[in-house]
Amino acid sequence: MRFVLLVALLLFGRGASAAEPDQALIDAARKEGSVVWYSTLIINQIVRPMVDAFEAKYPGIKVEYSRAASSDVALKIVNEARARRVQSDIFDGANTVFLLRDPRLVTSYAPKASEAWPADLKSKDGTWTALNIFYWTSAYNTNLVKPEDVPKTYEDLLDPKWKGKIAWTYDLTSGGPPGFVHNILSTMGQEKGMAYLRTFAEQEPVTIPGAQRVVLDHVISGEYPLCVMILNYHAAISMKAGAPVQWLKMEPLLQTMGLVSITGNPPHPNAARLMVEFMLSEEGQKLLADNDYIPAHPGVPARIPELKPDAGGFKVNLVTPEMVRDQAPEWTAIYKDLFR
Amino acid sequence: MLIVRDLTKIFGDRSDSKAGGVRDFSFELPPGTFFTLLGPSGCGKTTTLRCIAGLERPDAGVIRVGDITLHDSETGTSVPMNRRGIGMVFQSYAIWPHMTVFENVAFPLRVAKDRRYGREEIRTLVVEALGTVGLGGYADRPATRLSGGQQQRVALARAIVHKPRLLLLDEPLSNLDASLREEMRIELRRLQQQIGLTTVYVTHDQAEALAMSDLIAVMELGRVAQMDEPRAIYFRPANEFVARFIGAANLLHGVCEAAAGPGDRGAVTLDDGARIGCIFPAGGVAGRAVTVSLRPESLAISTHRDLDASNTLAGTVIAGSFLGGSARYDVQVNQRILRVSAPSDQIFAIGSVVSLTFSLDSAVVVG
Amino acid sequence: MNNALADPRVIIAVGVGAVLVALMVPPLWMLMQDSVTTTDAFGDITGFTLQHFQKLVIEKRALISLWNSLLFAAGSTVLSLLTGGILAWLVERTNAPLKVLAYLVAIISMGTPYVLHVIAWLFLLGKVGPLNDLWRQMTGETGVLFNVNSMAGMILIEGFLWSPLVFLLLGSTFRNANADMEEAARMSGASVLDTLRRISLPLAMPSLLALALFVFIRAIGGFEVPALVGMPGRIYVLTTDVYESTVTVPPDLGHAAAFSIVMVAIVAVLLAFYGRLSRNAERYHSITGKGFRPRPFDLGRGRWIAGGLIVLNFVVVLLLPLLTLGWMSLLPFLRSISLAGMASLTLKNYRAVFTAHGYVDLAINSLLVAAGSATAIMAITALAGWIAGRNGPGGRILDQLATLSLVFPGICLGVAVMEVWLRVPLPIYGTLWIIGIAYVIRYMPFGMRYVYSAVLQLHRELEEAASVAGAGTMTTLRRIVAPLLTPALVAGWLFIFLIANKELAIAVLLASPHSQVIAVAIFDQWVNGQGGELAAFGLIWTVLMTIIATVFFVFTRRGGVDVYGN
Repeated sequence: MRFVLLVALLLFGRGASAAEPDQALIDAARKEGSVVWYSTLIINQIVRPMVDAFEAKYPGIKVEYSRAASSDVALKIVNEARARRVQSDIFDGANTVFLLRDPRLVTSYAPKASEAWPADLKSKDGTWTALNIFYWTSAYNTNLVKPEDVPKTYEDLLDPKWKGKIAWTYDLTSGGPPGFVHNILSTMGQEKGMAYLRTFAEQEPVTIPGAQRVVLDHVISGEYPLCVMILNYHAAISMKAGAPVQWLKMEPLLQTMGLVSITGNPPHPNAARLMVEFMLSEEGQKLLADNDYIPAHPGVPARIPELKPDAGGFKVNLVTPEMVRDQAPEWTAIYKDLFR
Repeated sequence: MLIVRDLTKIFGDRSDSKAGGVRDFSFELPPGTFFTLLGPSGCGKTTTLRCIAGLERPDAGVIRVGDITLHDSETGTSVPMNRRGIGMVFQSYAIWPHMTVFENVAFPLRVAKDRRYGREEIRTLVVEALGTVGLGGYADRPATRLSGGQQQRVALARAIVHKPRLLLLDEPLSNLDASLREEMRIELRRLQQQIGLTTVYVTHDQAEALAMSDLIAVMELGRVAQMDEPRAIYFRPANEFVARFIGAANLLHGVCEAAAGPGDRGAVTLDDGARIGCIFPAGGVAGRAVTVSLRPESLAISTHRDLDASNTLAGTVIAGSFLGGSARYDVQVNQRILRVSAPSDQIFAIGSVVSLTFSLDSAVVVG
Repeated sequence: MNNALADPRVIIAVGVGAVLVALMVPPLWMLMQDSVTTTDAFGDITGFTLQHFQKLVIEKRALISLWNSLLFAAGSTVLSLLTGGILAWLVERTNAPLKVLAYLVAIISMGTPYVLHVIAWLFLLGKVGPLNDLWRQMTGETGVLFNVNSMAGMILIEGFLWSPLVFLLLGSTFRNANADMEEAARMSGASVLDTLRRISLPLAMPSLLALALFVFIRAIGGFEVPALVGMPGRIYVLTTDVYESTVTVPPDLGHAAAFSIVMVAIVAVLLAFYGRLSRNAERYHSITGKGFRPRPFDLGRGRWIAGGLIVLNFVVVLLLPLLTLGWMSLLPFLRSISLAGMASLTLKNYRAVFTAHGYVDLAINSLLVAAGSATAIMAITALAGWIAGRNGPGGRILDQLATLSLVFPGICLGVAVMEVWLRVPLPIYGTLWIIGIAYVIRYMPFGMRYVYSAVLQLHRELEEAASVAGAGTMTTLRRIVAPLLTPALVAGWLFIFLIANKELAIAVLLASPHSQVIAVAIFDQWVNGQGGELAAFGLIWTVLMTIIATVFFVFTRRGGVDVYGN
């Protein structure tokens, strides 16, 4: 199989057809009949459209999926692997990366579809590829914050008038407070960064028990005027619906990635590869964009192009999955230390 | 015929003589006997009944009905309670609220293991049993729509429907009101005699026991205080406990003057110096302290001062009450107060001086 | 103990005991193992450690959380007992009007997922909710009258969550209490209040205490309110600490397990008390087989005050949250109740629920698994509860086994069940069965409570009469005990059926592609901030549950099984 792939790769090089998986893989996948996807993504918004498109394109291969939080997905994969009863073929998530530490939990595979992508969007060892990109930023309620008061820099957040009025998520991942800690420390340096974080802690940011989307909704409903660590595209969707909210280009924005990987010893290895290829193909990536996600594919623009740094003109601070994997516990510890 | 031998069942510490239960109880009942276990609560009467029913497992002893051994601790025999062929009426009646009267009564027939009853047979037997207890026509009532007396009859019908070898009654009348109790007392006795069923009856009401029984065992702290026929229990109480328990007896303390054989008559010097003639059912030893029981109704009260007659005590009326059929007076004799029952047409004013006379046979030495 | 009687009972006790041990002990074992071991990335155990516990002792956070947990549980217990208890007494023992409203509140609240209740309350009492809005408009202030994200807010909301359950459970206590004692007090010249204070309350005290401990234990293990209400206010309790440890990257299961063990220890102590209390509690009243109907108090003019309280409860505990959910379900995005909001009302969320595919499958799966686990629980506890209630062989052990899972925080139970059943070479993991098994473990204590108290209220002589009449143990069980316990079994079944689908943590963790349940959808909408769709979906679900519950109530009333039971 590898050989066939390699040959196909060599033959077709970087042409448009490179995105098309070869027939042998499709046949093998079809023989397996199904593929199981453990997802952390929202079912109605992206999982089901992706599944429907895949099943339409490859009739005879059924996609089964279940959705849970990163930690739940990780727990399931670890426990299933230990019991040698692996159920899933592929999994995604921004924070399931620590699974990648153990070769028994993940299958190395370098997808053809992402061959031409920049190096920071895929792993060297084939354990992950970026599926979509997250840009974490701040937002405010346009009814509650006067134009002249809108904070522009991280320092502006330290203004005493925002005390107890900044909301963020309780999600202890790179997309939550730990990510914020990292963003500050890596841009300001250890010493200045810690000083900043200590002052920020005195602002008593409010922990919202919900995902980043929920935090944003609390700002929209007027409960809090400001929030940090929300996704720019979430704000954009709400702005389009008429909600009184605006996201901020408070630089640098934090960039993390949603990854896709193949589970170790998957029950349907070929269908897993085919599904990954599809998700990373231009077709799959467009589907992401159409559903308001920001695609990882460098050639596929976001539905609102300004949401990406190039088109939007904002600087980002990139967090690689390896950084999350190795440093997240440290960020979390600092957060717990200062903010609890 | 029911035989119980050396029945022992102690709850808790066996060496504790005050521990609840029953100890070394033996009796034999000829067929058709109405046997009553009488005593205050905690005396072991219910325990005895439950051992016979199989609801408790005796520590020791033998229980036999006819030639069938229900329980024998020596051989380890123990017939399960549902195979004992006994009918039982519980204190709470235990009428199953989710069944009709008919189904309640039919239950023993439906679950019988030793033979199968046909539909018609069940109907006949149930109707017969209901008729016996005077509940004909109540068959289809829900069990919850019955008065206390009716529930009691249903419980009885259920206990006799399968023609048991033995009928056990656990204070069945205690939850009824007074007039109904009186009526059921007669009814129960009539039924028992009509069916001719050996019956063990548990009660703490001495009137019930005296009225219904062929044989009574008065129990105290797990032991039999006296076992005899009702008249003997009433007129010849074997000890102070029985005397007290059966009707309000006047108990006088004194000293036996001369030795007496069982059933002999003799004299007792009371602790206030008066001398009376008594009967010694169990005999007497000279000089021994004794207690004499004098029933209120054995004392004749009059204003005549007939001090020459033997067994006459003089006293003053200090209280009186009119009871309808009779009157009751408290008479102070020296330092003690005697209760006296008198015909209600005789009236004695408080403070009047009276003499109390009694026959020698009614003064019973009880220990 | 009678030999003849014992035989079938010993067999039953051993059988039921084996099932209970198989269900309850392995998860507890897993939890203990997780709390004292270190693992590598693959999850394999690499060594023994006490560091998880050391961390608990060193961090002063743990102590604060413990204190918060106790405060929260005590406060909400008192509140729910007060509101639910007063209501139960008014409805069961007085001639207060509008009693049906109280039942309505209880039934509908039981069918509403906790998360929805909490969300509705958060909105009602929240910064932009109608309460604070009104206050701001009346006073011109800009702050808030009541900060919901406080201990007071947590206690208030949790207390209201539990009050319907307290109402139902205390209702049966009051219903079966001996009316003579209260009447005797009234005849002695006591006023209604005096009677309540000096007679009714002391008599009900053992039941009250037992119920209070039960609610207390559940509140210690409660998660929704501490998470949704407490965390924004930085008020952490044991369960939220456990939760945090399981969602950090990577999940710190050892820490979570150590926290759980602390909770297990606290709850185990409470359970010991509870066992003793509940044993005494039920002795105060019994069904003897004699028909009896307690006579209600005549409150006189106080009737209308009582009616007012019942209406108030209806409005506060049911109507306001439901109206709030209705409002939320009709909005494109969450906003305060205002004219501007009125203009944007839309049925979009309902359309989304009805057109989204898959919800019907989820609903069917949910109903199946809830009905299945409720049936299994009632079957097991009917036997275990009977043996325990009759002091049968091993009765106390059965009771404790069945109550054991009360000590698990939901998420820890989920993980432990997963770890256990992945190792069992049966096709259980990844199917609806494993969710069912987790539910059975989690809700077993509730079934046990229903059966146990019902058994104690059945006069022992009802069974003895059957035995003496010639019925064997099995026949007695089948023909006497089972029918007489039916009302309690039905009530317990319904209760478990209704609450089983409120549990989010377990279902989400154990759901597989083939076994998705409603909880997963609720979790999805909640996490994604689809508040409107969640409210719409939740309301539809609540209506469905209410219909089921009502059918049950009507059916059991008409069947007459309620005449002599709970």
